[in-house]
Amino acid sequence: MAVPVARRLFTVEEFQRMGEAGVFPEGDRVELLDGEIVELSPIGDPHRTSVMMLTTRFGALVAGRALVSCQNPVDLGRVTQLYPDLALLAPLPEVYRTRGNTPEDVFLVVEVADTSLAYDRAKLARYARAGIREAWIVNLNDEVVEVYREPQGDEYARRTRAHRGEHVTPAAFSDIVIAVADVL
Amino acid sequence: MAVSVARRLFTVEEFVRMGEAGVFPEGERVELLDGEIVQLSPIGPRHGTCVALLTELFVAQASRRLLVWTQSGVNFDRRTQLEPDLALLARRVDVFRVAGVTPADVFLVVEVADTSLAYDRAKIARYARAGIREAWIVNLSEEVVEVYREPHGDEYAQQMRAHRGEHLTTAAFPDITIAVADVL
Repeated sequence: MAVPVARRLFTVEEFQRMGEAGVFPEGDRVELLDGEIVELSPIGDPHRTSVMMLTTRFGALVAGRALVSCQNPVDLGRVTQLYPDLALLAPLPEVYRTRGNTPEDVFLVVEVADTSLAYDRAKLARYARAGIREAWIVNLNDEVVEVYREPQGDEYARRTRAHRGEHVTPAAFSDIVIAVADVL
Repeated sequence: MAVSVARRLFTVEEFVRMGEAGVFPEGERVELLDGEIVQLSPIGPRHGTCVALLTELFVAQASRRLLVWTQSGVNFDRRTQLEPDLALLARRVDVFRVAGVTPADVFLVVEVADTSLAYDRAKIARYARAGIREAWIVNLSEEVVEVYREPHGDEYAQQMRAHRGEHLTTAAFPDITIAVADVL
């Protein structure tokens, strides 16, 4: 039965209050997309391995120039708080401790996609809209890393794909080189 | 953009916890329908007056046999807690105080509809499915009271409309009489 419901949407503040009040059981993976609370699929073994490899590589290479944020929230305005698999943020821990981040603090977000590819593509539009400078999708199905740069409205103007045997480099840190094969 | 998201659904317990944590501002009207948090439209003066008149008439005639339950939650299942405008309940006060109200306790639910008619009709289906014996919609736009009896699946087998000048009684308590004109 299709019911004409006015679904209640939430702000980031309300979403966080829910978490603090224990509404989401331990291990429940949720994020806030345009006011809607979205349930994320459980992380499978290839996905988590890719995230670990990315975290390790970036951790070794950023060397104090950025914070490596792994499956943590990134604030994208009043009604959206997403949990990218990895993000590189400006090294401002004192700021984040009290008021979270702004989109300007984010150098790069990375989503690892296997079963979640359609949803991860949809999230790209939110990253672009918030002005996040660069986003990657580590596409485990196609064995490529999709690189998105130059946010413009709901899209990224520049898109490239890097295959096994190739390397990817974030625009903000030209000396950081990640071999695609290492993170697939 | 249409995104296929797995919207997080909530249990009654989680919904109640949100309320206790102050997620919903004072005066906001929400209910939980099949795990979705639904925002109810604000109660306008005509709607509010109708509920007040109904309450007065039912309280005067219930004479401590019944409890008149106004704009409070009734638990339907693990993921549904609705707030009918008014319900006549068995006087199981000690149970209600601890465990809340379930459909088995309900003799009659009344929804007052002005702008909310489509949603109230959808709720009628939910009331039927839960086996609630009788439901009324006070339809302020058309100046009738719609009476639904004999729940059968998602519908009521018996449906009638009472106009100004007519009187209504409840199936469970034939001595309780309401003049349609008194509540419009």
